[in-house]
Amino acid sequence: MENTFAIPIILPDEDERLDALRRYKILGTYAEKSFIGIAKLVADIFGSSIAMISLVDAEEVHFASNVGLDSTVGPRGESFCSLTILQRGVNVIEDALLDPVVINNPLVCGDFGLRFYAGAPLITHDGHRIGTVCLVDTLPRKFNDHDKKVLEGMANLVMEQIELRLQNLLDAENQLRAKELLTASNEQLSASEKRFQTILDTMAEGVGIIDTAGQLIYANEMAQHILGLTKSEIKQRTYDDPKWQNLRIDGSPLPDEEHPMAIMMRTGVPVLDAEISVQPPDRTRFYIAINAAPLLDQHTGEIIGGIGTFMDVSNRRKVLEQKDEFINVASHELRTPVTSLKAAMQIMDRMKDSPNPAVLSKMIDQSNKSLSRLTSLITDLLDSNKISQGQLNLRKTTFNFSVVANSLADQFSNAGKQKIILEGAIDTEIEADERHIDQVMLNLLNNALKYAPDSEFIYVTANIVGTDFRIAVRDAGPGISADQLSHLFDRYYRVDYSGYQYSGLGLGLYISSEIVKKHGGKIGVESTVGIGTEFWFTIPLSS
Amino acid sequence: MIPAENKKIIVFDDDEDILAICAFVLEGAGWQVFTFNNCNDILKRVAVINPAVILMDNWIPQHGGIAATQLLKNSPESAHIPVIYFTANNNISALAAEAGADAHIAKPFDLDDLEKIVSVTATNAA
Repeated sequence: MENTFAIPIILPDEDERLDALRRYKILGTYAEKSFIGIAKLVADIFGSSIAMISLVDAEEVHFASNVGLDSTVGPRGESFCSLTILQRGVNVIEDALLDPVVINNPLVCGDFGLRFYAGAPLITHDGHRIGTVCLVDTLPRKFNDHDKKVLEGMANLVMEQIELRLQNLLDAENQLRAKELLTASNEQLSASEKRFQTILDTMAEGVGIIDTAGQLIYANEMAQHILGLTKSEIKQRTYDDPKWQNLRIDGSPLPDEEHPMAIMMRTGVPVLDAEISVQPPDRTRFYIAINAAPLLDQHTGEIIGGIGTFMDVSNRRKVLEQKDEFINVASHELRTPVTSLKAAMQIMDRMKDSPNPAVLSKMIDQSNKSLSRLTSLITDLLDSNKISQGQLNLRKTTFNFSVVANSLADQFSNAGKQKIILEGAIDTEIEADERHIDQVMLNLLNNALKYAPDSEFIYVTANIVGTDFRIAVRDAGPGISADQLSHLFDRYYRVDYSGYQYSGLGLGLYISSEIVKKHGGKIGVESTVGIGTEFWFTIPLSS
Repeated sequence: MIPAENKKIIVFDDDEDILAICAFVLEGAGWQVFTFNNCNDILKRVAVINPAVILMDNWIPQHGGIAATQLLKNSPESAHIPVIYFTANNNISALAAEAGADAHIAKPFDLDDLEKIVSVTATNAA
């Protein structure tokens, strides 16, 4: 920089001063021009033709807010403002031609013909002088203390505006940053909410949230599914909705105050794994296990609602009930032959001193019959136990199916009035466990005889279907209703316990189906009420 | 004692073996024994035979021993005939009470006990 003045114009704090100037972010912005009004006011007050608000940068002086000048920037080494920022007070040069410091300045000695200059520095709140408010004339002038005060006041005014503008800028920046933070945290929050929503929607447990009035205010998808609710209904349901009857496990009505959610809301203590039964108006009763926990206010610790997680445990309960029922049936069925056996033994015991041959023979037959019934029940029980423990082992051999079929047909046809008719590809070699196939056939034929006692003929039909050997046992009995068909092969299922129609453990079809499956085959049933029933199974033929 | 001509008993049980054994034992004790493996037309059958006592199984077609016993006890013609509930079920006393039976005996039973309960129940009612 070329200094045209007779004194140095850079002070030791120049770097800090420049930092202060740049802090205001005003250079090169529209705001530079926003002080033209003040420049005009200065020119008017002092009757000068030139006035400006200048900002002194490292190399140049900027004066976009000016009156009487064509340019808006000049070299720092020529500008009188460079002198003004060297001091705290107003810088006045009443006649430049008489001032040795400025005498060689080109504005003074050149065409411009500057004679008078008065400038007040713009002083930042931390003491840096970043520019001036000044006026210039081409004639020498006087400038008294009052004039200086006014000019200084003008400089303060401008500086206040600049500070104010900076404050606004900072506020805006802070707001922007806060907004960005808020947006980011909102996004995070919504991503987290979405994640929770996904968890809630995919979990196998129902989740319901209630308010203090017991009103359901949220139910996840599984809760809606278990409770059979649609979204619009949720708002109308309380957990103790009278339309939905809550029952104890034993089927008696569950008083509202005994509902796990009510107990939890009353005591504030979580209730875990409480099982209740629910009777909807139009569906079958089901069982749910509930975990109930209070929702507490973060600050006061007051209960503001409750959250219940629950799952449909109807199947678990049904299996338990079926198992109980099964044990009941099994002990009954075991006791029945034991009753005849015990009586027969006692009769023989009574006549042991003078045996009656006819009675003795009858009682021995009875004992043998009872024992074989017991044996077959015990075999069924053991087989079913083996199957449930995955221990059903096959001893496969190659044999002709007709051997099994003929032997059974003879046995049954001699025993009663019903005839077994064998038809189709009975004479087929198969690779299977002969004892188990015999067991399946025996079971299917026994069922046909037992459940279709009035069916004169029972047909056993063999076919080769693709790579399978298919055997069907068909009766012309009463048939089985559709709702019972799907359960026939379940472990503890027996048609109509309540009717006490037929004895037996109800394990036969379960065992048969497991034997067939173990062979890689399929088992099934088709039945029409009033027409008859056909049980069939397939055994893969060895290739 | 019951007059000899009135020593009639009906046994209802779905198990043919038990029916046969009971018939043999009770006939030996001097009873005229009638056996049925179901409870169809029970009121009519009981009215025709007019037994001194009835042995009733729990699991018996069509509707079970409880319903059959209740039917008998609710009918003026048969209400006075004592019913002995006999079953292989676990909760026999509860079942007998529900049915409204006069006595009960669990299966398997001792022959002496069977003869005794039949005799005592019939005598008490007579």
